[in-house]
Amino acid sequence: MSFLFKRIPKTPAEFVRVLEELLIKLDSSGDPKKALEDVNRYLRQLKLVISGEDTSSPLELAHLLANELCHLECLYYMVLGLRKMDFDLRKDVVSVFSALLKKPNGNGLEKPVVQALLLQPETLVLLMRGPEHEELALSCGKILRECILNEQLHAYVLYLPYFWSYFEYPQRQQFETIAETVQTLEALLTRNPRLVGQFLVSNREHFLVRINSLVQSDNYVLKRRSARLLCDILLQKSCQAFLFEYTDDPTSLKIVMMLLSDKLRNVNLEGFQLLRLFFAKPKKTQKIFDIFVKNKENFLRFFDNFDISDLGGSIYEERDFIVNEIRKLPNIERVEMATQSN
Amino acid sequence: MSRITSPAQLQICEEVGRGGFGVVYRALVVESGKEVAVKEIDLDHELADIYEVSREIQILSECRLPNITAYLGCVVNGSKLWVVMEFVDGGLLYDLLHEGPITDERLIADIAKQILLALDYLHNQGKIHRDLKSQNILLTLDGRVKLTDFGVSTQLFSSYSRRNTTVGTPYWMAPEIIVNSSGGHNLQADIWSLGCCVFEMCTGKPPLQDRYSPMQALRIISGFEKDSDFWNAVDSESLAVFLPSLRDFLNQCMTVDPAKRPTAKFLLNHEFIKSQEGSGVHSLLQKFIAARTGQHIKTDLSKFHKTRPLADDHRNTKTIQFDFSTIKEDNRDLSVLTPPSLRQPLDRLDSPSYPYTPKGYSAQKLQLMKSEYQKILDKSLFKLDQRTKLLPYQHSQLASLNDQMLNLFVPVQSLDNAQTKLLVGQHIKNILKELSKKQAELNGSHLSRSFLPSSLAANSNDKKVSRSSSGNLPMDEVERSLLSSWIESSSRRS
Repeated sequence: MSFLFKRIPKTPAEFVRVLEELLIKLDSSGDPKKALEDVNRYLRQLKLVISGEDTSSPLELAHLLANELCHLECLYYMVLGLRKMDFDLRKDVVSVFSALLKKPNGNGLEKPVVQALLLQPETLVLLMRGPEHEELALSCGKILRECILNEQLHAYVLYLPYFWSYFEYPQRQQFETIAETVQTLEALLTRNPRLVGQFLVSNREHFLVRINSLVQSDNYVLKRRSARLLCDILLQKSCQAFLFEYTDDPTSLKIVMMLLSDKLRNVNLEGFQLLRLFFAKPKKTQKIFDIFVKNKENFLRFFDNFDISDLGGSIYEERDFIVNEIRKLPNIERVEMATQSN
Repeated sequence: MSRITSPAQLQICEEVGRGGFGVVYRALVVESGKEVAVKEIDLDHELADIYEVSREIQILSECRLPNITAYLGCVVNGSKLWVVMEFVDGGLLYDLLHEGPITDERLIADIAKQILLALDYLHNQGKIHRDLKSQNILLTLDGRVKLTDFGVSTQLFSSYSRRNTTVGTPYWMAPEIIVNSSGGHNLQADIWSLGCCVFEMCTGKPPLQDRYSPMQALRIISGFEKDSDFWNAVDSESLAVFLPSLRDFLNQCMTVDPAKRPTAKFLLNHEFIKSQEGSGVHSLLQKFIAARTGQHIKTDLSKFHKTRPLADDHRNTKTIQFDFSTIKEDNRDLSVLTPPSLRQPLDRLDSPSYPYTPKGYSAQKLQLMKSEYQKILDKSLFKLDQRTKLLPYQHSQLASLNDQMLNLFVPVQSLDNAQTKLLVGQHIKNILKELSKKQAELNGSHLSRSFLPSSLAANSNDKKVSRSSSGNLPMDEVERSLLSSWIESSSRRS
């Protein structure tokens, strides 16, 4: 068995309590270096046992430790302490959470860790606010994405006001932060689709403004990933109400057309994926229809140059369908006369 | 060192390498003067998966070990991603072995040990190198071995693409990878590759390379069933001169069954690694690297001069025209994307060089147009140079034509002072107008065909299109940008 338990023989309950005290001291201790060392020792040991890496320790011990962790406020202080921890120690915290969240449900009940987090949601709030400190984006994002595999936890964080910060975080400078936070945003909006569908019913307008601003981002990665995310959400069955609202929105259509007018091919492709939704929608509103008619020639010329020769799948049929729809639109001259006569 | 997040923090120097997806440059950090390596990946490339790339960067940013090239940051510049890495001065192990095998076992042991440290670190975090070979092992002049090009780099820079579009060199590949029996890469595959590198250090070549073509090797490696199969296939005679402990080390690495192959942690305690450890080894390695690279740099420099005939060639002015394809999109943010060195002259032109504020153009707008125009000129020359064999004098004539066309980018008033035109723009317009007229005539149509892009020529026959493009109809912002991108893309095809 591990040296630590030999040297400091303690029951799992005592062990977790000591760890919690040490974590609290991280913030207040007069000797921060010493405090960090202590935490390091305990946390590393905890990680080895709980993640099963230390094959010499009995499974029972891992189980007991996991249960103790969920009783005290240790989880909260672990996340709070991330700021003070070094790079490697943060990874250990991530591993501990990951191991806890992977434990199977017991007897039809929620996992202890889920219950604990729901009882003390401050931990979830801390995790959601993680990217406020850029260096914590990575650790918090990893833990959070594992948390929201659980629908209850997902529901809790989705309705936090901090959710909306995930449209701001990816506009930071550092690429890892961008990648990390946009990945969390994707997870928040695609896991548990039923939940997301409900969420969008009450938050449609706000969401649309936010996501559209990401789609217009100057950052190539962010632009494409947010366009793809938007498309993925729209294609969810549970988000159909949102799809209809979206395809009636002229501003959104305009932004999609901007994607089509980008000079980069893959941006055009993302734009196309969204555009087809507008065409696929039966009973277009007058505003949308007018935009289509006004741009008939432009669309046709876009499709003349739209090179998809290296792509497979249904994209050809979709393109042909859209081109057909466009051809059927009245010509500009006629519309002009019609508006004049009105 | 703080992370690199903006192109302005870097000064790109010469190209130092090239891979399937991108180019590697040597660069300097403007603030500190520190040398870095910049790997450029075109994210808009059809095979570049931005999700994959993002994830690999996240992984890369989490690896911090002296035996792994350090990740220093990333810059998104239009559709180009610059991955900034530590620059390693001693070159590739591969190049060092070009001068011949390593005869001193202590050196082999030290290098192997440092590779094992890196592999152990990666494997502990569940990361696999996937493409370990002497081209991916770097050496510093002070005797440090550094692994590079795993993850993101494997997919984007190595000759062996994940998508199997190109099977490059198989000599370092483990049997199970070729057979794909384990459903992809595993940790143990790296150990096999390490064995191949040790073999390579001993003999100068990886196993089988002296006897078989890559395709043959692929077949042979995939046919290994027993451990002895490997030793029967290679020239094991040449290893006879080495210590038994080295041969045993190799033997273990080259275990055909991945499940029985030892881990990096286990091999770090192998007799061969342990017995060669000593204080003297490190300085020995330093001397060795210095000696080999000394030769190496000399040959490299001569190569360098030969391949750069035109010192002020447009293609080589990388610092300024690193990426002209993105400027249009980023017009609004030009100040962010343009390094300060470029920004200055643009700002200065603001007032004094234009004697009056021309109607309809703000000085700033003119400036943006001008820089865009300059990109187009450069791009055209670049394309021309790529697609046709330009003679040096033709290249310089075209370059000076471009310069003149740039100099003529000045606003002029019409006689009645009512309109402002761009001198060169009006000139080109007139030429194109005349050429379009010529289309009706027999001789003229040949002329116009060789001057006008096919799309433009065809469109001018179409009344409706020419009407809308001549601006008679009011267009909204979207239409205009759509239109301009089409015009551009059609001219790109021509």
